[in-house]
Amino acid sequence: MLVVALGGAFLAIARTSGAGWVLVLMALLAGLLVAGIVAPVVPLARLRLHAQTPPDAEVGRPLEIELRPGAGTGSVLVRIPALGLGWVRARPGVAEGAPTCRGIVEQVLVDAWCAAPLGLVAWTRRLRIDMPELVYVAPAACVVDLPSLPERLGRGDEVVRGVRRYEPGDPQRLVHWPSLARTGVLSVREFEAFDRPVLTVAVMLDGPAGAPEVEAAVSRAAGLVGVALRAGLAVELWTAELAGPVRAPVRTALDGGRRLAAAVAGPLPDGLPAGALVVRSDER
Amino acid sequence: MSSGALSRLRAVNATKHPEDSVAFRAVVCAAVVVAAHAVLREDVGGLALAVAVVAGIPAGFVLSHRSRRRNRFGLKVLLAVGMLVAVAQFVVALGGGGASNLAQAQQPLAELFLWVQLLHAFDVPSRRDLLFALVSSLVLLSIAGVLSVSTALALNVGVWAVLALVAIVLAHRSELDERSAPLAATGTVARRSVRRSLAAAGSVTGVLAVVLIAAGAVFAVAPPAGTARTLSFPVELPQVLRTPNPGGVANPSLGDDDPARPDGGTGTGAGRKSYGYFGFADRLDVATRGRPDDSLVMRVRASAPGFWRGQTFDTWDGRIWTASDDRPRLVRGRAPITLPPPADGVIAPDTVELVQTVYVERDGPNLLFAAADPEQVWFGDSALWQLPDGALRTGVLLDRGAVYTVVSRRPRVDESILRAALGAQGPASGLAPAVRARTLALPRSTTTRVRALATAVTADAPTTFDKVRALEEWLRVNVRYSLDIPPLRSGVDAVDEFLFESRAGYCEQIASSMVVLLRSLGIPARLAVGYVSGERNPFTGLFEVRASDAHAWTEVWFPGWGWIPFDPTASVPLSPDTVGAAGEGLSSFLAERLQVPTGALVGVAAMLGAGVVGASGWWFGRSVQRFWRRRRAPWPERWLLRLERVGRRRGRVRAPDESARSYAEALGLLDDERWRRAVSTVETAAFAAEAPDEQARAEADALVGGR
Repeated sequence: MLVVALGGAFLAIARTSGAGWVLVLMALLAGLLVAGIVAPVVPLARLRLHAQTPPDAEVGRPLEIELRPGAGTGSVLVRIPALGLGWVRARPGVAEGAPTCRGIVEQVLVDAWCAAPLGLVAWTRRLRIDMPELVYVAPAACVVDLPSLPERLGRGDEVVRGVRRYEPGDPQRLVHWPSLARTGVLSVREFEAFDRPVLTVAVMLDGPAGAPEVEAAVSRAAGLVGVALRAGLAVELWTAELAGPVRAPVRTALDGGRRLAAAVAGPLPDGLPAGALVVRSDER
Repeated sequence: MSSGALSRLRAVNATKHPEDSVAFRAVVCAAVVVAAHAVLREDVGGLALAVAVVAGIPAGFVLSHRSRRRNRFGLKVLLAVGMLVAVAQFVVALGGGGASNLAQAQQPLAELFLWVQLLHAFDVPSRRDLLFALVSSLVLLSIAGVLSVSTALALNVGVWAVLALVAIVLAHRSELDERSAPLAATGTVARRSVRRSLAAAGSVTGVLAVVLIAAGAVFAVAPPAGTARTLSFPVELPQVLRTPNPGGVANPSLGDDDPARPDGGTGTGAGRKSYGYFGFADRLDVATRGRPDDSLVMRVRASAPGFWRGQTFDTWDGRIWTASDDRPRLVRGRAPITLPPPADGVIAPDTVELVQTVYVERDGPNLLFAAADPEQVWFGDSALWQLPDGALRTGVLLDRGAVYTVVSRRPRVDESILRAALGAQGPASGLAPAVRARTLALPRSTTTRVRALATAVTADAPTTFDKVRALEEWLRVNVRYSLDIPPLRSGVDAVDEFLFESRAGYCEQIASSMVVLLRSLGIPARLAVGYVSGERNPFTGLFEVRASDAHAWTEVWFPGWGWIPFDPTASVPLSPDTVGAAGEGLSSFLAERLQVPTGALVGVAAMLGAGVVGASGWWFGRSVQRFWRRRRAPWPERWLLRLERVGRRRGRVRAPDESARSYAEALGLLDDERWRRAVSTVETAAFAAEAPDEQARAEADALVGGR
């Protein structure tokens, strides 16, 4: 606007005073304006961007995003709002973002802005780039009464029943070193099957993804799953996904996060057990 | 002021975002100094101001940089006081200097701007301040542009433009750094830095080229700088030296021939300056012309070209022209001096105004050169002498540096109007009897064959205008313009000799012949002398009049319209010309200054244009080549090319060593069963012995959008 105003003023001065040099300055301003309008279009049109992130991300937690733009676009600023990446120059490098919302990301919108090299007129462009990404919420801290488990719980769903003398063919990992140390007799542990208590967590969402109450509920569910898994319980997560209701066990917190990233409002599978913990988006 | 208000004031004036880029600051400083220098060279301010500006502005920028993060409230208060002092000085200069019009306020105003720029240089801590300083420097440069009447400003404008462009680019980079978060770099920093610097230099050069091309295009079509009567005009008289013969012609450039000398001019020609012209005297001997050189004698700011007339002669004795009624009328007054209509003329029913500001570059005659007929004059002296033909003489010598403005009214005529201007009593209708007698008189030396020639040439011309044109055409065809002619023999009529013997001569002889031929037909005519408009400088917008532009032409009487100029030496259109665009004549002007033929300059422009066309052609050709490559290549290669197009749209270019499968995988396409099948089909077609079936190929093609 300033350039246009100055150019207009110079034209008026030249027309009234007869000063040819002022017209030259006006022409230079006009040239500057033309260059200012045209020049940013070139790098913006040339912009090709490839971005890569680790496969899993968590809402609000720092996420490294590697940018690999094409050449000659260093004067373009880009941002990826969905991944919480603010304006950075479109140059090869690693930027830090923080995803702002939970979900399964396949493509992200990239805002590109360019006013280079004069900064007089800015052009913007929006491009969509592929970026397979699972974003899950940060688990909320929660307190819950969980069933107690046997203290001598071994690996897997087994509990140590006793110790017997070693027989050839027994795996080395079963050797019970304390009794060998005490008695000098090589012994191995014996197991019996143990049915871990199963905690069923049902997530009932009522509202669009991104709604604060929905995200809070998912966050509570993630916290619950984490606590239960750390306590040694088997967890079965009941959710609704875009493809339909899903009822499946969850082995790790990451597994739970991925399931919860895909959770949407919808009907849960039938037959919810009586002791299931139901996390609802309409209650806090 | 309460302490609360003071702290608020401090907070408001605190530097928000100090600028750290030394390069940006240095370039802005250089641009400001260049702009200030442009104003200083226009004789603005004295030595003290020049030293203060040239030394003070860089010092101010250094101080601003060093203290950019500090509290600068005290300094700001000091600068504000300094500004007030500068404004007070400006007001005093306006009042004390007797600046009665806007034009006279230009110099004090320019000084005020220089002081403001100097003081502002001490307070540019942030990017915004620096950009403001850059805009102020542009305003300074425009002030220099208003004051400048020469091409010398080009150097300042050129250097400033480059500096300003670099400054703007650096400002934008600084803004980008501020707006964007840092990236963790990868690769060799040193190599990248060098590459970026080269890229930056390349982009600045490219943008400069775009700016210059666009500016040139705008300048070529922009309306020309004009003059308007709404503003007052510059008036300058470097020294008031009265002429020894008030009301008479004084022309020191003629040396001993100066008619103002006590002996009335000895006629020896001694002491004549190389730019002196014999016609600017009280008589004109057509047998001697001299060869005025190419010295710049004056610059004329006017919205249209014209004949800058000095005076006219109406009495012819066969060899010498004189002005018979040399009784000038004294006109007194302060600028603008309004003139009465010329005694020998008539007020035309339709006229067009022409404002001419003349900048005298050489000490010359005391004639005010302007298009006929002058109506108003801005001049530094209160007395002028107006001759019956409307010509103006001053009572002071016009030395180099004198500036005056004349507003003239020119009849707005064309061929049809002049053909219709017949007059009830013949061609001399409306002229006073004495004037008629003077402007129809012919000496005894005028021969019969001259009269017969006039009659024969105009036999088929029914009107005065047609007769004039017929005579012009005859002269154009039958005589040759030449400065190398033998001396006129004693006792012969100059016109007869020219028309029937030598048939070669210069403008005085050609115009004199025209006057004599017209008078022999009973058409009133007289000889006018002055300058042709001169070459227009497209940058200053001024006509640059050189001594060699001194000229003589014919004025012919048309009843009801007055004296209309005709130039038999060159074909000159009747209606007042206008300058079409600011850049009119730019190529020829540059070609002359750069000592290259206009054709070469046009050739360079054509080459640039050809380069652009060539680049476009190359790009188009490459596209066509790609298209045909796609068409002719084996099917797997064609499919891969189309896959590359899909990838480019998604922002991922295929690496040279990437196979179709790995590229499709990188694009995230292989999660889809259809894409997996398509890639297998392509691989089969490329590497297996048997070709895939048509159905599979069609499915694969459908995925990449075509065959």
